[in-house]
Parts: sequence; C-alpha cells; structure tokens
Amino acid sequence: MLAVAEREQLPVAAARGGSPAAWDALFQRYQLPLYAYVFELIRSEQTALDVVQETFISAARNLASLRDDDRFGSWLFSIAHRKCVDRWRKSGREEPLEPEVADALPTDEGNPSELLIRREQEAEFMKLIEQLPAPQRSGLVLHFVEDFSLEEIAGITGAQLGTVKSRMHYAKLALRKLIEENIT
Amino acid sequence: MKTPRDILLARHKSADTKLDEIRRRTVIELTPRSTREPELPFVLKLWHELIWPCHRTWAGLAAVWLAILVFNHSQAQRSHAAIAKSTTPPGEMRVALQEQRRVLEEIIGPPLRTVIAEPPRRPNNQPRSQLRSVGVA
Repeated sequence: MLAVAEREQLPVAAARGGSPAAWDALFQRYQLPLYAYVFELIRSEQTALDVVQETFISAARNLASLRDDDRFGSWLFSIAHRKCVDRWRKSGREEPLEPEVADALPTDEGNPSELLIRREQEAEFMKLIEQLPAPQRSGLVLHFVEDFSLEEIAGITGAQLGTVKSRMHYAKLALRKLIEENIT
Repeated sequence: MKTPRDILLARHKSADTKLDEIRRRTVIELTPRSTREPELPFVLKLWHELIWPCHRTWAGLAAVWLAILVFNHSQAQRSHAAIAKSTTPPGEMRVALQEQRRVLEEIIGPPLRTVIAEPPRRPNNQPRSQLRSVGVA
C-alpha cells in the first residue's frame, strides 16, 4: 500500500504563518482518517465529532510545539489520542493493557495494510476490528488509515515500542485467522 | 477487493458533511478578525436581515399606512371646515349673552354681594392662657 502520511507536501509552514487556507487544506486532508480513528476508539458519532473539533483547535493553538513539519500527521493523531484517553478517564473506563512480549515476537509477519479484502469479507473485517481490545484496535487502525510506522504509533499512543509491537502482533494474528477462515 | 484503509474510510464517509462544517467553523475562528468581512453597522444589518429579504411586503405595508394617513388628514380638514361654517361668530354671541344678563337682572334684581364673615375676636386681644386664668379666679 502507498505510504499515505509520508512524502506528502503539506502546507504546515504556511499554517504556522497563520494562513487560513493552509489550515483548511491540512484539516481537509486529515478530517476523515482522524474521525475514523477516533470513532473506532470512542464508538460514538457525536463524541468523535467533538474530539475532531477539539483536536483541530488544539493543533492550531499548539503548532509552534511541532518541531518536525513532516510529522504533522502523527502529531495531530497524538492530540486526538490524548483527547480520547481523557474521555475514557472521565467516563471511568480503564484502557486495558497488553503484556509486553514484543521482544519474543517474530518481526517478518508481513504488512497488514497490504491485505486485500473481498467485498463479502468487509463486514467480517469490521466486526473483527470492533472485537479487538482498544489498544490493539488503536494500533491497527492507525496503521491502516495512515500507514504509520510502529515508532509513530508508539509516539501517538504514548506506549512503549515493545508494547506496540506486541499489540500489533496479536491484532495481525486475529486478522489473518479471520481471512484464512473465510478463504477455507 | 479493497484495502483496509478503503473499507475504514468508506465506512465513515457519511460523516464528511459534518466534518466539513467543523473544518469551516474552525478555520473561521483561526482567521484574524481584520481579514474577515467588516461587520455592518446595526441599522444596515437590520436592513439586510429584516427589511431587504421581504422588501415588497414592507413596501406594501408602508403604502397602506400612507394611504390611511392621507385619508385621515383630509377627513380632519373637512370636519374642521364644517364646524367653522356651522358656528355663530363670537361678536354676535357676546351681544346675545349681554342681552340675557340684562333680562335676568330685570327679573331677579341686581346680583347679591356676598358678605365675608369675620372670625370672632378675643376680648382685649389677650392670649388664650390668660383668659382661662381670669375665668378660674
């Protein structure tokens, strides 16, 4: 799959200069992937819309803190992720944690975003995504919608790289199982 | 065949309209006030929002009111003229009143002058307290 977030010429510098057109272009580029990510975590349309709006406002206020313009996408998703975690905490939900077993995992499992899913598998695929624990779901959706690397996912979710590796490993296993079950 | 990204984004495509609105509002907030459209004065704003959208209705109402005012004014002028025509001139009225008074005097005599009663005076102009003590003694 094409790397979505990287090697894109985004008008981050112009936005830093206060150009409304640049902000409009940036928000337009990320609004749907950001919403998809937030919705898959929060599972409420209105809350997801609120989080996206808060993320946009927060990004506009704090763009000065972004050191590397090429990291704008992951920086934006990290703001949204923090806002989701804040919402979880306020609603009394605990973010479940997975054991850190990353070092023992094989690393050549293939790229899950390179999967091609048949039309009849789409509903099953979404069902599987919904069934995954929140941290696994978070990592997998980030990987799918913006093709973020494991390091970037770790930065966005504030988790250790090893933790992210293990979450992705289990998520991929579940996904592959589903695909194989549907093929056979 | 679709990629997971295509499936995920297609699933949320229906939210695009709302997201566009959020984006539009946020960008307006970010736009410096000086570069936004200048705000109209209150009267002009009222004109644009209240009068202009249904200006034909307002014009019709104004024409009706104008017609009512003109009709009212002309009626008032006509009635004044009628009253002025029907009333007796003041000179004649004064003569008639004098004649009436003269006839009344002939019948009942000249008008009585009212006598103003004076308040009773205290004897010797003494203070009230002294009068009492004299009575007791």
